[in-house]
Amino acid sequence: MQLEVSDLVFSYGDEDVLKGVSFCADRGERIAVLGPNGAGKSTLFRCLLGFLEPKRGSVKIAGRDVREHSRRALAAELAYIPQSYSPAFDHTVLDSVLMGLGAQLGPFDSPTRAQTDAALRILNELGIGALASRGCMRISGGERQLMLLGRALIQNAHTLVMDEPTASLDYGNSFRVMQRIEALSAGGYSVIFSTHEPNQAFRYATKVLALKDGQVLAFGLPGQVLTPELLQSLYGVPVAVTQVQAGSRVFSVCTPYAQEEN
Amino acid sequence: MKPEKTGRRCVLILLILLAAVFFLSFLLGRYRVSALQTARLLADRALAGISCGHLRLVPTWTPEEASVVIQIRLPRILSAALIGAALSAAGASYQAMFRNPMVSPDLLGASTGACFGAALAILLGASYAVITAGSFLFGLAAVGLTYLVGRLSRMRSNLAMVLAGVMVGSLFSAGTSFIKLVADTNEQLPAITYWLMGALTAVRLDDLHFAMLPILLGLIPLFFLRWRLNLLTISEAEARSMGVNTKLLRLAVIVCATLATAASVSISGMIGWVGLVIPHICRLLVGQNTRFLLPCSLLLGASFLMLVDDLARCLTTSEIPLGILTALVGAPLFLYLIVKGGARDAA
Repeated sequence: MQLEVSDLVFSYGDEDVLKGVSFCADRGERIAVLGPNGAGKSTLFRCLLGFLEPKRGSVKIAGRDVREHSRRALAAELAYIPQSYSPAFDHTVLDSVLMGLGAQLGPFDSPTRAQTDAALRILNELGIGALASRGCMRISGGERQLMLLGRALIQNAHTLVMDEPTASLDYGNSFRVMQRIEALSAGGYSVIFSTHEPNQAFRYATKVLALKDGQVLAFGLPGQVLTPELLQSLYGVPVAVTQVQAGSRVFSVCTPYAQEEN
Repeated sequence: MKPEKTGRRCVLILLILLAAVFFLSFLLGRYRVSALQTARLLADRALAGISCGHLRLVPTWTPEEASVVIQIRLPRILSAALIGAALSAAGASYQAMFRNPMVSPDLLGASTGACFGAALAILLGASYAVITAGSFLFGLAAVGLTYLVGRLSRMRSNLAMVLAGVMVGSLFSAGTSFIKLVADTNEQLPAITYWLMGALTAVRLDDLHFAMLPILLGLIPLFFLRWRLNLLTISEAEARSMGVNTKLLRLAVIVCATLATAASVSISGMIGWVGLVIPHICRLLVGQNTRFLLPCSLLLGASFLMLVDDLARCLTTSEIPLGILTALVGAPLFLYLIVKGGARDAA
């Protein structure tokens, strides 16, 4: 098991934010974390990344507790992709990707030519090779998200932790980014992403973790777990689920609606 | 890759520029020494230095020429180069660390602390060596105090540190003002005022030896950390997830930049603008990657301050303090960069 979270409890002061969260992820899985604002998604991610010390329970990466990993060893297992990227300086896309080598390079090292070539290869694979020497403030939000994906890839970690990877993207760009993520997990990466869009969970997740008030309401296959009842109890609004045929595949989709008053 | 090539080429060109400015600076001044004679004198000095005095050139120069070049010009030009390099490299590092291109190396109070130390030493009638040492120690103490307050604060580290720096800085400025108030108006006050404006007039080889060690102790680690400084420009969470020990790296930058800045100020007095303007010019040349930005700032800063000091020496019969000149040259240059550089530098 690549990632194993068992009975995780975390609290800021007296208030428990995570109240016994358990789930696991294998290689190649894509776990969507769904939940309303304040459900504890970001706190969960911070615990996964070892930024926060849990009160109880454990997070195991590749069979070992997060706290037993050295900072560098953890970076070789987990890569983090933030929700938005707000750099202070206009580094080029290539330089930004190379920053992912932080754990592999010693304190006094600079990237080698081979590593630069590897970064360019990754950019080409992501379809943004032409932007390599462009400033990272001068590309679109979708391209920037792909760039961050590239940075995570050169880090050589097996698991990608993504905090709302498409939150600030338009419809087309979020589709393109999610397609990339799907392709990556087919290549062996485990992906854990949070999202406010249940349709993304239907469409891209192999499993769904539904969080509310720090508790797991459900964990399992999207088709089985994401019932109208669960979605309503998650978000507090009535939700209808139906099926759509797109090409040769059938997808579940959902939409919220207002209950008509009699 | 293209940007990398540009970076390397810029470093090379700036290195050549540095060598040229260094040598030409010896030829300026009221006492004329020919280029050949200067070159021989410098070669002799370098040979003696390397071989511990065993190897010397056959002297073809007069004792006056030797004294002008070695005793007067060499310490001055060397210290201008060192101080320019130190302030610019410290500025570039601080800008990366505080994620702000408008930050100068005295943000945490290094300069104001050093000025207070110098003023205090002058007030107490100390010798030149004690003034230098006092200034250096107070510079370190000011930044130490800032760091401590920043660490004790419950706010997020960077902002707390900047605020603490502003407070500590104004505390030491107030102290300096008070010393000026009570200082003897005939001798001490002019000495303090002159010192605060920054000058290399009085620098001798001994002072240079004193300041060289801390400056190099600061600059060398910064130079080797040059690529890693990039990792301080992204958010702390991201950097940590990439296996970077951000706390340690940040502390290293503060210690190194402070050593270099305080040591510089202690022999030259207040020299503003260099740490802000030079990294900015270098950004236009090589971009944001600190791997090239830092070495370029170091080299260009050294050349810049040597040139400004040449101006200070030659422009008028009485010397103009360096601090005035760097502001006179730096501020308009900076304004120009803000107006013209906008197209390239969106930050």
